[in-house]
Formats: sequence, structure tokens, C-alpha cells
Amino acid sequence: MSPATPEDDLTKLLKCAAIEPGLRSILCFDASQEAFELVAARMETLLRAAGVKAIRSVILSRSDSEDDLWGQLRLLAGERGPRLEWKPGRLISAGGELVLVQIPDLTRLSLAAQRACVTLLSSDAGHLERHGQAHTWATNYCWLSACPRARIGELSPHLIDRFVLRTSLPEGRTTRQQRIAWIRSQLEERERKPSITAPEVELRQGTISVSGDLLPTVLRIAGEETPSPRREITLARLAVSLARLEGKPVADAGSVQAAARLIGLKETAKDVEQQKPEPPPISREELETDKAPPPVADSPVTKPAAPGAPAPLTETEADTRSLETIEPDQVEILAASAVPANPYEEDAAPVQRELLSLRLPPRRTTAARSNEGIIVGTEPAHHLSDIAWVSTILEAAKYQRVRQRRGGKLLITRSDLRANRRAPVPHRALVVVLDHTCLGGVDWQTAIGPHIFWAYTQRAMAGVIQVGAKDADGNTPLRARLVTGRNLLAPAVIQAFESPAGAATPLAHGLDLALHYLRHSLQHGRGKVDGARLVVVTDGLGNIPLAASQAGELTAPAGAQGMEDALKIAAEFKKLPGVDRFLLYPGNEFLPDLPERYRVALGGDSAEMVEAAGGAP
Amino acid sequence: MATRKKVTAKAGSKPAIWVMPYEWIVGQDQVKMALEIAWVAPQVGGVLLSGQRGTGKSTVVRAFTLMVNRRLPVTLPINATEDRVVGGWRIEELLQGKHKWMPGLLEEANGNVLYVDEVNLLDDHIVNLLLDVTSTGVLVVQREGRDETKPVRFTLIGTMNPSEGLLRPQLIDRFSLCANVSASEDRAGVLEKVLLYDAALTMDRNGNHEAAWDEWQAAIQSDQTKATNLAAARSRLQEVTIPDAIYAHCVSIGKLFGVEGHRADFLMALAGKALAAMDHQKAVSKEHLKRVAPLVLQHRRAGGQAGGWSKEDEKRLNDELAK
Repeated sequence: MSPATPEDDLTKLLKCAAIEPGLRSILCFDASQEAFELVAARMETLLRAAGVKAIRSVILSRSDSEDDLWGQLRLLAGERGPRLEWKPGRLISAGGELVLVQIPDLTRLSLAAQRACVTLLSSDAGHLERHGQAHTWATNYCWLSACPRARIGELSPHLIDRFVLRTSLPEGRTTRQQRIAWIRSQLEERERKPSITAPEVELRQGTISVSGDLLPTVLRIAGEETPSPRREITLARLAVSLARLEGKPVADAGSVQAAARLIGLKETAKDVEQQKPEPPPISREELETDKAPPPVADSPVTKPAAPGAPAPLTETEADTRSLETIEPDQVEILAASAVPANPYEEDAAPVQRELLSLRLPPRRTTAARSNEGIIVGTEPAHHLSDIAWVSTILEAAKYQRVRQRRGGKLLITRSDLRANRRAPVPHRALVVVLDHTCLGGVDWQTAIGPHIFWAYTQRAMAGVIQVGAKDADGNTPLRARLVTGRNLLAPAVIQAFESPAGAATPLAHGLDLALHYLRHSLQHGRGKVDGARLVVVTDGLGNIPLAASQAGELTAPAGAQGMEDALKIAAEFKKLPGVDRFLLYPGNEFLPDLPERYRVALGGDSAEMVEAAGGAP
Repeated sequence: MATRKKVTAKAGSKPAIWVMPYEWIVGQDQVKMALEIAWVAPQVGGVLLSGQRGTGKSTVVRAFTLMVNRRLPVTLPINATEDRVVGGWRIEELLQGKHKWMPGLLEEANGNVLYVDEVNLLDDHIVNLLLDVTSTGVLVVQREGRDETKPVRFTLIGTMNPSEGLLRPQLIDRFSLCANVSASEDRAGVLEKVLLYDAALTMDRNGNHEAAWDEWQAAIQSDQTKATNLAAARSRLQEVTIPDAIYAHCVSIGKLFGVEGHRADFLMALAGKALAAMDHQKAVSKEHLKRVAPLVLQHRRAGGQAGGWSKEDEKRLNDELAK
């Protein structure tokens, strides 16, 4: 067997998914848009090679609503005027077609689409019960999704667990030369369209027998405690599919090891040690009673056969089809694919998602109805504000033939009225510029407490600008970092408060980020914030000039430029209406007048933080 | 559209929608017991299956209803709109100037099972409709020019992953029994059946029903036998008696676990009766109570939705029954 290349791994994985419906949900880590599209094209080709005749591709994004996905009534022009027609949603599968669902960024999927995925992925049947339509169908989907590895904590494990196969598609062109060469090739590509024919592949459709050591090996590699039984089922399915692909008569422990390697599951030294022949997992009762395994010829992939005694191939059809042509550039990009270091990143990723992220958003406003949030759907209207006119007219249109026999004007009744359902919109914002390098030894949590309380009671959106935080993800220490959340309870915001101190203090950049964030919150978009609170926690000793932060490199000794920049930006906050400004500072015996300079620049209140009881918090 | 595929589970026929046979569900004894009790004694009313991802909650419900009803359960999906839940006019007919009523899912499920997958993700508005009907047993339709009242009774079966949120207290109360679904301890057995199922599907796709067909047929045949046995147990239910001592235990166990109201006491007696009928017993015994008590009590205690049933709870129950 020739040594495996990364391309082999990805192609093998896709082939397995093509021949085994139970493996048709794939998550690609860190895939560029280009790489993702190529994988999707490859997947479609392989599905056709595996005998799937009708394939419809659907791309899901953050704008998909429930009506888009499940179906809606639409108005069409007819000879006798407008007519209504039911338009099935994009996820409705009919007529035996396979729906290839592509999700270029799982973290940017709309809530409606996430809920649809949870409903349909891994399910035997799909159900539609909407707008007078009732439909039940056998699910026939292939799910292909991409997600940045660093953001996997933003996703619900309930959703992500349903993507059973994992692969990694890091950007292959990392050097300057590679990128230049790629631009050239792209430009030349406009002129010519060369293509090569990929080697023919055999997608074996038959079934094979399972050796007695397969299941024990699956269980050993999957480990004693797996967070989801889907993982060991996937490993077993992948092992059987790989053996089928390779034309083996029996799937055995070797197939399992190959499958584990393909998705990045590692065998521990203990596992390898334990790889000794084991008795087949057939119970005594099974052997003694009529439940004994039937002849293999009658049972394709069924009861484990004794180790070392492979059963004959019971393949019913070895369907040989060929791959369509692929472009040479595709080969290069797909070759960059890699087996993920850890296929189940979500187990260790910090939790960054909203609590109950798959639930429909709660309604928070009880007094005046807000019509500023993003529309997430429609619902029967109980009052006349924020009417969804299109939905209302469509609802009324259904009854027009009954209500007015002779034609005439559109009649809308109270029961037709539909209102927009909107995501809740915060009307307050708390922005904290937190200088992590000055927090040692002071009780900053107590000092900031009243502001946190204010933000909580106001259901304010939250933004924390980390200045001088020790950054775990490799961000340059010359820059501050903005972390935002829908409210203070967002895990990412909570984590931002808890970072340890780093080396540099890019205070000017932090204030600059805060200024832009506040301007955007107060002045942009429909759901604007009408009141904000800025809390700057710093000793004022910013040592990175703004220009150095923006450029990402410090070319000359900083001197006092960092502080001067910070003071200059601090003075800008006074121009923002509706922003209450607060400065919290630790005592500084060397530059006692510095906090006062910042307070004057900010134009707000200031307070000195007291020393922490028992030393640094 | 308005189509529903007939899903058969008859020996000798090919299903339109493949669902794993009930017999091939490995382990999950408590889950199976809860579903079977609710079918044998429909007055029980509802079963909640709560468990982590990938534990086969939906599969077991579909397999069970296919076994006992020969069709998939009436399913209330999280994409459902109000008109499909309580009923509405047929759109196609309306557009032609005719009016024909289309019963909603609550009415379709009358006398049978209503299954809600991901019940904790259901829209609050739909939950309210569900609560209205399950608490009164009456479906009131006052919309789109209709004003009617219909008696409706069904067994509500819900599945959920508690990591995505718990249920409102009013809704949890509608589920008489609650089983925690965890991964089967017989992991090899699960894998074996999954691969067997995959093989049957592969053979079906290839148009060859010879090899896997026998195994499939045997499983379906076994399911039919099981369904027949459950039907017999259902007919025996009224013959089962409850000794006075068992009544007393129902009350004392309810008190011991601090559940509010008397519904838990009643449900323990009723579920025990169903279990006795399934076991071909003429009277409910302590052993029956011991088996059904966790299903009735665990979600009714304070914080019970997330708490489950511990070994300490088991010990307390045993001590009480030993009195």
C-alpha cells in the first residue's frame, strides 16, 4: 500500500460518506470559501458516482427564515390576476432526490436554520406542519459544513454532535510565493480551462462481513466514556465503508484503525498493547440457541464472525463508476486538507455560546412594543404595531375567493393580521475598557460592581475592551481586543474579565476601540442604543502609541506617545451624547496627577480603587 | 402537498420510511417500560424521554409507535404553525373558493400518540396550545370563523436534550412518566444492531432483499408478537387489582419524595397496574411499585428535571417499601 497523502484522506472520507448514508454529515474545520466549494463539488461528484441520481444543492446562511427553509405561500402573476401558490421550502426533500446541504460557516447560521438542522440531521423522517401543509418524508440529505476551529465553542453541542465526520482544510497557500503563484494561475485560468481526468474509482455498493475483532477495536479506540454514542457508531460505519471501498471481503480491526486515523482519533499506547486476539463478542446463549448467527451468505454485515475466519464476500453489486474531471488547482487545494488533530474539538473548547442557543429568543419588552430588532419571523398580531404586511396580505389572500364571490378589493380581517417577530434589542450598552496590567493588588471587582449591576438591570449589551491582557490565541500584545456579547451573561464577556495581565499596555488602542464601538452602537443600525455607560479601568500608563497598535509593530521607543494618544482619544468621548463616563484607577504615588488628567479628558466621574484584601485578586 | 407517507411495519412489505425495528433497540429498558406502560394504560397520559445527544431517543419512540400502531406517530415538529396544531382551512380548497376544514395535529392524534421531538425547543405559543388541550382534554377552536369544541385525548410523548433547556413546570406536569435516556451499557450490542440495520438499508438500495431480508423480517415478526402481547395486557388491565397495602405505599412514597399534589400517588398505582398486566400478574406488588416509582417521581420533585434518580433515592424507596 502506498503511503497515504492528505488528499487521499479527504477523498477517502468523502467516498465513505458517498456510499454510507449514515456518514453523510461532514464538518470541515478552518475551510476557506474556495476550499469548501471544492469539497462540495467533489462530494456531489462522488454521490453521483455512488449511484445517487437526483441531487439538489442548498446553501444555508444567516438569512434563512423558517418560511425559506420549510415553505411558504407566494403570490404569482396569473392570467386572471395574482394567484397564490405553495412554494416548498429549500429543505423539503421530495421525489427521491438527495439534498446536498452546504453550510459555509456553521457559526453564522440563522437560528431557524440551526433548529432545522437539529430536526433533520440524523433523523429517519422529516415532518412539515406549516401553513395548511402536512408532509412526512424519508430524509435523504448530505450535510456539508465548515466552521473555524477557534469558534466551535459558539455552537451548541446538540447541533455539532450531529456532524459525524470531521476533517480539516487549513489554508494551503501560506507563503508569499504560493499566494502570488495562485493569483497568476487564477488570471491564466481566465484564458484557458485545462482539466485532467482523475483516476477511476470504484465505489463498491455491496455489503461485506464483519470480523469478530471489529467491534472490540471500535470500543477500545472510542474509549471508556465517550460523550456521545454517535462517535463509536461513526467509527464502526467508517471502518465498514472503508473496507467496502477497498474491496475487502471482511471489515476487521485493521479497518477500524484505518478509519480512526482518517478522522484523527488516536490510539493510546494502552490501546495498542491491548491489541491481542479476543474472543468474538458472541454470547453463549447465542451459540447454543436458534439465535446463533445465520450463514454469512444470508447475513451481510451482521453477527461478528470468528477472528481469523473471514466470511466470503456477499457483495451483491460492485458498481464501478468514474469520477468526473477535476481541475488541477482543485487538486492542490484539496491536497492541503489534513486529518484534524482532534476531531471533537467541542469537548475542550471554551463555552462561548449563548445559554439555550437553540431556543427562540424570549420577549423582553412588556410596555411599548419594540420594532427595532432583527425580524426572525412572524406571528399572529395582537395589536396594530409592527404589522408584517406581506404575511398579512398572504394570509388574507387565502380567503378572498370565499369572502368575495364577485371579486373586488382585498378584504383583510382581524385574524389575518400578522406582526413581525423580532429578536430582542438592548437599548443600553455597558462598555468597559479594562487595563489588565494595572489590576494587581486592587479590588477592582468591587469598584466596578455598581456598573455591572446597572448593566444587568438594564439588560444592556456588553463590550469589554481588553487592554494588556495575556492573549492565549496569539493576538499581538500591541493591540487591545474588543469582546462583545448580547448581555453580560455571554460567556465570552465573562471570560474577558478574567484574563491575566500581559506585557504591554495599548491603552490608546483600547480607548480607540471603545470610541468606535460606542459610536457604532449609538449611531448605526435600526436597533440603536439610546444610552451607554463607559467605564475605564486604568492607571493611565499606556505605553503603546496608537500608530504602533494600528500597524501591528513598534518601530521606535514609545516614550510618552502612548499616554498622549490615550488622553487625546479620551477627550473624544465627551462628544458622544448619552454616554456616562467613569474612570476607576489604582493609586499611583509616582504620577499622582495622571488620573486627574484622564478624568478631565473624559469629562466624567472618577474613583480610586481600594487595595484588595489579602493581596492581588 | 398535504401528503403523509404510509409507513408500514408489516412482515413481507417494504417500508417507505425505514425505522429500526423495536427489537433491535438494545438496552434502554426503562425507556421501553415507560412507553409500554403508557400504551397499556392510556390514562397515564404522557411520557418524557430526556437524555444527552446521540442516545437514540427519537429512534426508540418511532420504533415503538411503528410496532404498536403500524405507522409513525403523529408528530408535532418544532416548525409547526398554529393552524396545523389546532386545525385550519385547506388552503388549496380555499383558493378555489371552497372551504374544507383540515384537522390539526391535536385532533389527528386523538386516541393515539402525539410525539413532540425536541419538546424543549418548541415555541412558547405552541406550548400554550398544547397545555390548554392536555390539561382540559378539550380542543377549543375559535379561529378563522369557526367556534367548536371537541374532546381530545392522546398520549403525549416528548423527547429532549436537557442541555438545551428544561421544560416549563406546567408542561412537565403533563408528562406523567419521565425516563432518563442514557447510552446503553451494551455498547457492542448497539454497534452490532446498527451495522445490521445499515446492511439492510444497503441491500434495499441495491434492490436486493435476499440477504438482509430474513433478519429484518424476523425482527418485524418479533415486533408484531410484542405488539400482540401488549394489546393483550391492555385488555387485562381492568382485571388487575391493587391491594390496600399498595395504595398506602403509593401515598407514603409520594410523601417521602416531597412531590406536590396527589397526581403522583395515582400515577404510581396506575402505572403499577399496567406493569402487572404486562407481567401477567393479577395484582400490583411492591416490586411493580419499585420499578415504576422512578418514572413517576423523578421529574416531579423540586429540581427533579435535571436531577434524575440517584442511588440514594433508590435506597430510600427500598427502605419505604420494606416497611
